[in-house]
Amino acid sequence: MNAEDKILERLAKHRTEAPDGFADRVMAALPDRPRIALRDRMAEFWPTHGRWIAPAFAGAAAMLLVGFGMGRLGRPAEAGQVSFHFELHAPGANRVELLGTFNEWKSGDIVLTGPDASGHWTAEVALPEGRHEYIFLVDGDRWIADPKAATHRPDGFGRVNTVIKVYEEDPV
Amino acid sequence: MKKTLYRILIASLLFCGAAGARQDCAPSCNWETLEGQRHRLGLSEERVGAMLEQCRKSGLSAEGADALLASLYSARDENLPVGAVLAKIEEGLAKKVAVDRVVAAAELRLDYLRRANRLVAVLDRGEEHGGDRRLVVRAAMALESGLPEDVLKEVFNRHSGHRYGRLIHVLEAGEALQLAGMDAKDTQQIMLDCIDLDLNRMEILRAVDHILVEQRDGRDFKAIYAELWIRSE
Repeated sequence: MNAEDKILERLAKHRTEAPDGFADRVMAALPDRPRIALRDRMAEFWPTHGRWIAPAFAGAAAMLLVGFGMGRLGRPAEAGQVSFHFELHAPGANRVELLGTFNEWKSGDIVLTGPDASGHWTAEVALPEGRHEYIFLVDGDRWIADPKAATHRPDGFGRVNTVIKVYEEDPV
Repeated sequence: MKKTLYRILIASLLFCGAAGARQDCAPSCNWETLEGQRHRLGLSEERVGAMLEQCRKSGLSAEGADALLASLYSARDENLPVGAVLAKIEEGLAKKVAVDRVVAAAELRLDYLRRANRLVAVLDRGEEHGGDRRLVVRAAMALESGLPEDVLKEVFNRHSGHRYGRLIHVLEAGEALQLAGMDAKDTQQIMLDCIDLDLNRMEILRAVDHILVEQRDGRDFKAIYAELWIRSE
């Protein structure tokens, strides 16, 4: 047995039982646990050294993106609204606008995107369900009824409007 | 001193009274008073404001704008859908049409609304003004598109009242067929069939699309009609 073992043996033998009621007396002698204010407890969750700042901001940004994406994707499902595709073949045009009952015939409100390689101008517009009239305005001075639509009617001003009926497909 | 104060007070009251009286006797003679009328039309103030702004941009005088508003006031007073008249005015202004033509078009629209309102009245739908207004507008559009009043009378008389909402789709179908150049009698036949067969809106739309396609292919109505309502069971 080396010197170290001897010391360990002596320490083991040295252990004695605590006197009766010792633990209770020690606990009673301890001061009351200090009350921590709610604000201080909440503050403990707040990052103090910048460790959580980046992940927290990343999480918030991700949530915002998801929310925005859901909003965009959810738009066509909005009650009573139907997404409608407008298209006009006008290869030489610089600007094509769409005016109709759905935008109170406001000029500059809906501007079509284009032209694409084949000269088409397009716009996706969420329309309320029902009957609508519209006309395209090309380069601010040419009024053109939709040549692809089936129904047209005189506008009472010497031109022709296109008439469409837009309804959500009923579930089968 | 007291006398002078009284005089100033009386003079102020007279001045204010005169200003107020001037507003009352010519309620629509300037842009401010026209703007002030916006809320009285029962439409969104923003929309009426945009229309007035468009009038200003077009170089229209306040009197000219007031002439445009006249048909709106008439529609409001007669409890007709004001928005349908305003839509015609907005359209005319957007298309830069001469004011007198816009006024005439608005008055014509108002007249069609009056006629449609009389036709819809036979339905005796009591207080359902919301639905009535939509129906009045659709009926007016159908009349404006050239559908004879007698056809609409027949349709409203045939309608039993249980499928009120669907009448709107029947009217839209009638207008589409009329605009496609179909004979009024044939159009009436299709409209009455839609009611009798109690078709829903998708069935009506499909039927109209089918007729229009067949018609464009050069088939005559009799041939189209003979196989139109064959059930696919």
